Amino acid sequence: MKSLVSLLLITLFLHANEAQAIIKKLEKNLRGDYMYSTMSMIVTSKRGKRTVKIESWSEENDKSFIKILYPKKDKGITFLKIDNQMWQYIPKIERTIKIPPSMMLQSWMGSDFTNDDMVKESSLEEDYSAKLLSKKGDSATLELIPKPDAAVVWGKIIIDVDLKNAVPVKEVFYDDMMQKVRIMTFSKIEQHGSHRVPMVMELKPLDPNKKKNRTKVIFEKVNFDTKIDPSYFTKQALKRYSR
Amino acid sequence: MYNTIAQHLAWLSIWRRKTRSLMVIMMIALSLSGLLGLQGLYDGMISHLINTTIRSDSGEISLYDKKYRLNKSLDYRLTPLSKYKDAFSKMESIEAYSIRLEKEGLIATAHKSLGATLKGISLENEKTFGGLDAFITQGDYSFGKENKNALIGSALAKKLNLNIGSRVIFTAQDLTGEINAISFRISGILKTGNPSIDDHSVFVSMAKMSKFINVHQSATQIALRVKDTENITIVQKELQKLFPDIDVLRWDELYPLLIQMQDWMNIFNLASYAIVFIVAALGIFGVMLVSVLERMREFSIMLAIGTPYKTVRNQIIMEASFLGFIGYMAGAFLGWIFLLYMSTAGVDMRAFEAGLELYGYSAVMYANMHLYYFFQAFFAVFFATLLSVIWPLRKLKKIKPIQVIQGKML
Amino acid sequence: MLFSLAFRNIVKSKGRSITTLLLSTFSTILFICYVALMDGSHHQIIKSSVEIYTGYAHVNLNGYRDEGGYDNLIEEADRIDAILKNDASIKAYSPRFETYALLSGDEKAIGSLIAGIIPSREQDLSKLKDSLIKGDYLSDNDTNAIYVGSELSERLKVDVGSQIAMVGSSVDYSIAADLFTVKGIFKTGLFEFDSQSAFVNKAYLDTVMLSDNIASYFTLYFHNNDKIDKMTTDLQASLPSEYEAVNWKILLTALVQAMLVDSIFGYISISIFFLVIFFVIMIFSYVNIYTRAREIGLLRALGLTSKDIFGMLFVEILLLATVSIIIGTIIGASIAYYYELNPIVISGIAETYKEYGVVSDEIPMKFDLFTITWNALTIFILNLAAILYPISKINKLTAMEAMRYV
Repeated sequence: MKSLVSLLLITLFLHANEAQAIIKKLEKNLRGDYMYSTMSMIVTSKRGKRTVKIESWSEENDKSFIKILYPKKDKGITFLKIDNQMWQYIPKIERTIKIPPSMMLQSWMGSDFTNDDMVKESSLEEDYSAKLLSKKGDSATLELIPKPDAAVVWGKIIIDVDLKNAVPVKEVFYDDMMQKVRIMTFSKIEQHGSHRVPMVMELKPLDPNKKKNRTKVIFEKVNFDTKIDPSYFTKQALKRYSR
Repeated sequence: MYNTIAQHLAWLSIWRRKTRSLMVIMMIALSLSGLLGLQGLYDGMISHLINTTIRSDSGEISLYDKKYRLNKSLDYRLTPLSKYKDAFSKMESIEAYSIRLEKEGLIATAHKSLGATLKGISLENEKTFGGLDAFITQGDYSFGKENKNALIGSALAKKLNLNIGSRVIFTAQDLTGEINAISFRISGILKTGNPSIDDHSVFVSMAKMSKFINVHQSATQIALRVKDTENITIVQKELQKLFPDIDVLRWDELYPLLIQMQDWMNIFNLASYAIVFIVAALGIFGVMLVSVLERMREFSIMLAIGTPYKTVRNQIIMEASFLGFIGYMAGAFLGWIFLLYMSTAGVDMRAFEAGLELYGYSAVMYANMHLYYFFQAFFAVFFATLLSVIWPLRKLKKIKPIQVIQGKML
Repeated sequence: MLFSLAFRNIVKSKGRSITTLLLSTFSTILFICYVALMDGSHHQIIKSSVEIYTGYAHVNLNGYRDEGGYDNLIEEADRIDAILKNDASIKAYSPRFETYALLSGDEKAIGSLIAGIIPSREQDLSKLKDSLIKGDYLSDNDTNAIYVGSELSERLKVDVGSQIAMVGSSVDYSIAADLFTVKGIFKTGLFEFDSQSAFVNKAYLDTVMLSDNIASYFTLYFHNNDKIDKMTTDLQASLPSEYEAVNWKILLTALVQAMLVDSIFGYISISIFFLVIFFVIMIFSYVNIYTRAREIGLLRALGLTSKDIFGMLFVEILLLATVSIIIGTIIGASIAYYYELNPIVISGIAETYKEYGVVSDEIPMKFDLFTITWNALTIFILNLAAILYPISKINKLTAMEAMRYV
């Protein structure tokens, strides 16, 4: 009897452990110590379609620098994120402003991502406890529940993982009452250096008022293996690298 | 002996003309009960407002850094707490104190984000201070296991669609300007009637708050309850001497509007009573005059047979007094029933909730009931009756008994 | 004949007649003035809120008031403009583009309402120009000029001539940013408004926000703002289906309700007073009628029926009441009219009640013929009702009993 119980516990433990391991592998794959990328973000909404081209440098999870390349009107606008703070530089008025907490949950550039999404990129491994729901061959489905102290708004995230490539295929975000709020899908997996990454991400909100909305991110260039100059992660960088 | 005769006759006289007397009594009774009811209700509304503010916010006295009220920055805080706590322990008239650390920021769910204020408090403290626990409408008055959860104002909870157990995150800048975020679950929902709490506030433990904004042993506000209203100014002066660099303010200095409202209400009340009873005096007068005039012969005979003038005069005064007194008793009783109902069951004005809460009133109103209402009413009736008999008595004075009996003067 | 009897009775019972006349006249005057003052003060509070910025009515796209943001903007402002221009019931109107953006004097950024307005047209629609305390109001040719609320200017630590950076979102969600110079500072007295609003010439803001021919809503005044519900319904009929016309009663619901509650309490209070008046008139009538019991008995014996007696007595009160309310109405209405044009001033009241939206120390009375009429009619009916009981009682006596009445 006792052994049965302990066997059960061990299985659960292993399961949980296995789930955590999957997530850990996932994050290690998707993030590197350094990441440089260029991407296009296509925002579809009631007003039509809009494309923004971005260049991005990041170090681990806590530092990132973003520059807007297109459209011409916004070209040269830069964002700097260090830990939980975010600054923005606008060349047209030659001013740097610090984004206050009240703006953090506003949508970033009109997309379905929030400033918070861009800035926090909260670590799935750090902020969530993972549980394996099912596994079939090379695919697995995991349930992620936020850890008690984690400052995240989601009630849970259900993630379908491609185990062979260690990439997510689909992420469904639920609110605190376990209602679906948004879905993120990943596709076009490519090898870049030591990482395999999905080059296309699409975010779709499930709010009935936002039926037509979706945001698609297409990566053009991705580089994990080159160290990034620390000068990118300073406030001076905002203006300096704007041109 | 003559006075008991006067009394006896007076009593009999008023019941000789039942309808007339009843009309006067009804007039006094109905108007009195209406006035009492309204007075209690208005009084109750304002008391409630003042009470709520003191219980949930300012206490009788509040301490703030001099610059805090204009600019709610964490730089303007009271510290170290120990020096204040020591001072309070030495002052007997301070019944309770409440230490609060608050910061404005953003509260968010997966769907929505709103501006709100996070307040670090001690639950035990607030309970003895102003009975904050009584305002819980859902859930429990607790921060949960390990004091990790929060209490939230009802209107805020409604706007964000929160229930007990819902999770929210709160983002704000700490002392150094860093943006921090924490999450917690809702363990209780409060409805105080104070819009600054119900619409804007979230309460967490002082420990959690201190850690979140990186501020220790400090408060943005210290509120005090003072035993006995007379001591308030004394305590205030003492504290101002001890701590000259900060603001030590009474609730009426923080919210002068409340006192103003009370004053207006008192004026309105006095004016109502005055107007109503001057006119009521007219009614009593009408009846008394006629009753005197039609008994001229009767009075003349009494005077002719030797009844002292005083007795006859007293009889008339007592007639008016009986009418007034019976009217008063009936009115006071009816008023008492009204007030009893309105002070326990309350008056449901929830149809006007939006408008009332705009001004900080609760949608269900309770009346106050104080003894002085009834004393005030008594004086009103008393003066009305006295006023009413002046003219009839003058008529009485002018009687020349023989001529009346002979039928020559009427 | 009944009439002449009634008239004679009135003249004979001077005491009762004068008392009833005075009481009724006084009540009429009191009622009219009380209601005029109550309505006037409510009207003033609402008017302040409405006229400072909100406006009497709005035209916006369905869903705008719930959602806000950029999803429900009027994107054919010129079309709506044309419709409103041709509407004879509208006195003045103007489009507004409202958004929330970050304003900063130095590095500290404060979120605020930024609205693009047409300065010349706003003059007739809001109190923005009248609230100027420093610098100048905007003009239709302005570019980078910004007009800032007093509390906001203090929070940003700026003055006339200072530079403010604005960062927000254009209508297509790209970043909108520009530098503005403070042209003027205003103070409306509405604290919340003064600490969170700033205005720019719409023609210029449109270039920054890409909001050309786009408006959040149109604000408007009718010629006849008093009949606002009818005006709004009529306007709605001439708008395309995706648009709605709403007036201040919906835009400022909470305020309207609060005023209503105050009115209810006001009426209850004065009703107690009328209760007493009712009884006093009844008592005086009763006493008077019974004093004439023998006379009435005689009339009955002579052949007049109870109906005739009723008629006679009723005519008496009718005459008295009519005279009272005519005099009372004339005096009361004159007072109301005078104080509407020359409001009562209680200095300091605006400062104390500023959180409740009171901006002026003036309390005008409201002169409204309809209200005055029903006020007077109420007192009139009060008089008539007061006599019913005494008459019924005297008519119950037979002719013989009445003649022998002591």
